[in-house]
Amino acid sequence: MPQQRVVRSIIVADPQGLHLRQAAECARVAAQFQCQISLKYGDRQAEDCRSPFDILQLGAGYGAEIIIEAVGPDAEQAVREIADILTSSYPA
Amino acid sequence: MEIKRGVAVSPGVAIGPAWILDREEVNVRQRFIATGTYPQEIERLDRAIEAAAREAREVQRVVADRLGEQYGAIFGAHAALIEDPRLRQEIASEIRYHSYTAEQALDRVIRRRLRALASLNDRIIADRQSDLRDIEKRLLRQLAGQRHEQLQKLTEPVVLLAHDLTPSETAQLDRQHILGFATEVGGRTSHTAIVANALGIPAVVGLGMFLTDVSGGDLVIVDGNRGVVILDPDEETLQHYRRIQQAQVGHERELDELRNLPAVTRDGVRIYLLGNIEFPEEAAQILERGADGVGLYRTEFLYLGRKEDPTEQEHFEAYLKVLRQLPGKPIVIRTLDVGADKFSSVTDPEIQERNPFLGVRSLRLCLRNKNLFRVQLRAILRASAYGDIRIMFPMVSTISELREAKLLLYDVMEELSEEKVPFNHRIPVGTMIEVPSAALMAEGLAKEVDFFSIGTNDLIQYVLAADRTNENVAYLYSASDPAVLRLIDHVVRAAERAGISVNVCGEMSAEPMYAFVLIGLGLRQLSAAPHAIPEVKRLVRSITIEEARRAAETVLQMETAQDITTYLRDQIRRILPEALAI
Repeated sequence: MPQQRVVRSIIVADPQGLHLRQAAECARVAAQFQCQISLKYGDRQAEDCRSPFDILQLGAGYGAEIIIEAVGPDAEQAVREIADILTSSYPA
Repeated sequence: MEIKRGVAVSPGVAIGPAWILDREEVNVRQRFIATGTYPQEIERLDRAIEAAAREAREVQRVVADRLGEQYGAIFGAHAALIEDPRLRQEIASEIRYHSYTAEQALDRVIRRRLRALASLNDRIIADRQSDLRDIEKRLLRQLAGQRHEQLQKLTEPVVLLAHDLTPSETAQLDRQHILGFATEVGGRTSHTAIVANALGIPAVVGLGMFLTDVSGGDLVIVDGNRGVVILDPDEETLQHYRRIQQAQVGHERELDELRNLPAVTRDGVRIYLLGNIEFPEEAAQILERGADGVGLYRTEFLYLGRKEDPTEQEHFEAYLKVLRQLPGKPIVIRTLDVGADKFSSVTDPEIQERNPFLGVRSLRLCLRNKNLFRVQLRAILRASAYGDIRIMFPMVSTISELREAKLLLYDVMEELSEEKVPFNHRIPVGTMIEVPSAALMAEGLAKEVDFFSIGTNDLIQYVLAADRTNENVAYLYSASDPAVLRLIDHVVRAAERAGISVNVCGEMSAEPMYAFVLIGLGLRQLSAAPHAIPEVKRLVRSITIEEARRAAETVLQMETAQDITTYLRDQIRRILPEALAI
């Protein structure tokens, strides 16, 4: 498979902001891909999406724009799945 | 007697002897390892990580069984944090390069992470600190070779007092023996608070230092309704709270029984109670709470957090999802009500707003982007072929604006007819009354629509020119303000004269004292958050139209919000003595 670099921006949809359960879910999903996935919010960056701690430390609130970047053979699928998690919202 | 104030996170009243959970300080026996022994120490760390993650997943299963999947997921997330590869790497390098013991290294790394989280200066993120302390404790216990949580077995009911409770500790509280709890730290959105609420244990958090003022066995009252903890209460206070406690038990039973009873006043007038929902998943709550239908289905969720705007099919499915769960019940769908920033396809360079609340939003935005609006209108119309769907336009300011929206709706109807797509040709069309100009022009607007829905949250804000989230002016924002009540009265009169129905879908409907005055002003439909419906139904069943009308007439003569609030409180105290106590 060829190397891909996929970048996509999403808006955090959960009124609680990017929360712990989403961070954990991102890390779980990221670990299943070969590509390197990073998240960026303003000037803060989570270099490795497999780290829920780093994702949490983005401090992304409701409506924050997050840029997902993945580099690797399965980047496209990975970005899609991470975007799905970050744009989901749990009814309180 | 001493009264402490904190944050109420789980309602109810608990009275009992104090049981103080000792503060579990990080007990690090040894700070350094012998040089060169770091590989063994890192191995010890890895074993602890593995065991702690396994244990967290076990808690996840137990909590999921007991409270539901969404609560279990909190602990699944804890397991993921424990297994965080970067966390492990940071701890391991502290061990390797500074010869710290695993405990010491863990403590340093967690502290660093806590500081970083705190510096984000975001309350919700700060609430995640209890999660970090939770995983730290779990790891430390594993390193110390302890297998179980420290909460001892209790034999008699107590009120638990602690510096802090982790979400795990909270989830394992035994409802039989823990009457309630109070902590020095913590916030409203912490997982500890969420779990306490799910368990139905009265709780107050964020009380500040108070444990030094109390000894084990002292009588304590935790008032989870008001966020108050009373140490060593006097006899009068104790009696007061005992009465509240008894009333509460009866009250809950009664609210439950109310579900299947109609909302009819004592003199036989039927009041329709509808629910406000935001997500299709909430439709089930409409039935659970015994509501008559959906008075406000917000559709913003379809647009939030997406790169592309939702398709007609996505709209349609979201509407059918609610319809299918509520056969035969009316569902009022409000067209998109957000600012320009929420759209993906709308990148209007002209929209640079200094005051977005008075800018291009809601219907104004839709009318500027008609192609986008048509997608939603088509979907609502298509859904109307399958049930009692009604359409409502938000933030209408003028009659021309409403006409323009209707014109577009008719155009879309024609299009669907040509395509032979079925829809309800007589779909009820309504407008929200939330801009003062619309309230004042209600007479004219009433000739154009089938129903009104008064959005009191925005109406109050626009009438008093006060943003309620701005704490410096929030005192002006009051549903009791005579200007607000007179305006509502004006709108109801206009609707009555035109023979159209009128509903209130703001938070006013959810509060018994305002529901009372609204019924007195002539409203026969109220729409509120589903959880508020049983309480409003109880109010309806306790009053006569005559007394509500008299109260409305009285407040319409009053001149200040304070006078009106005091008067309505007295009325409610008389009608529903338990309602205010709780």
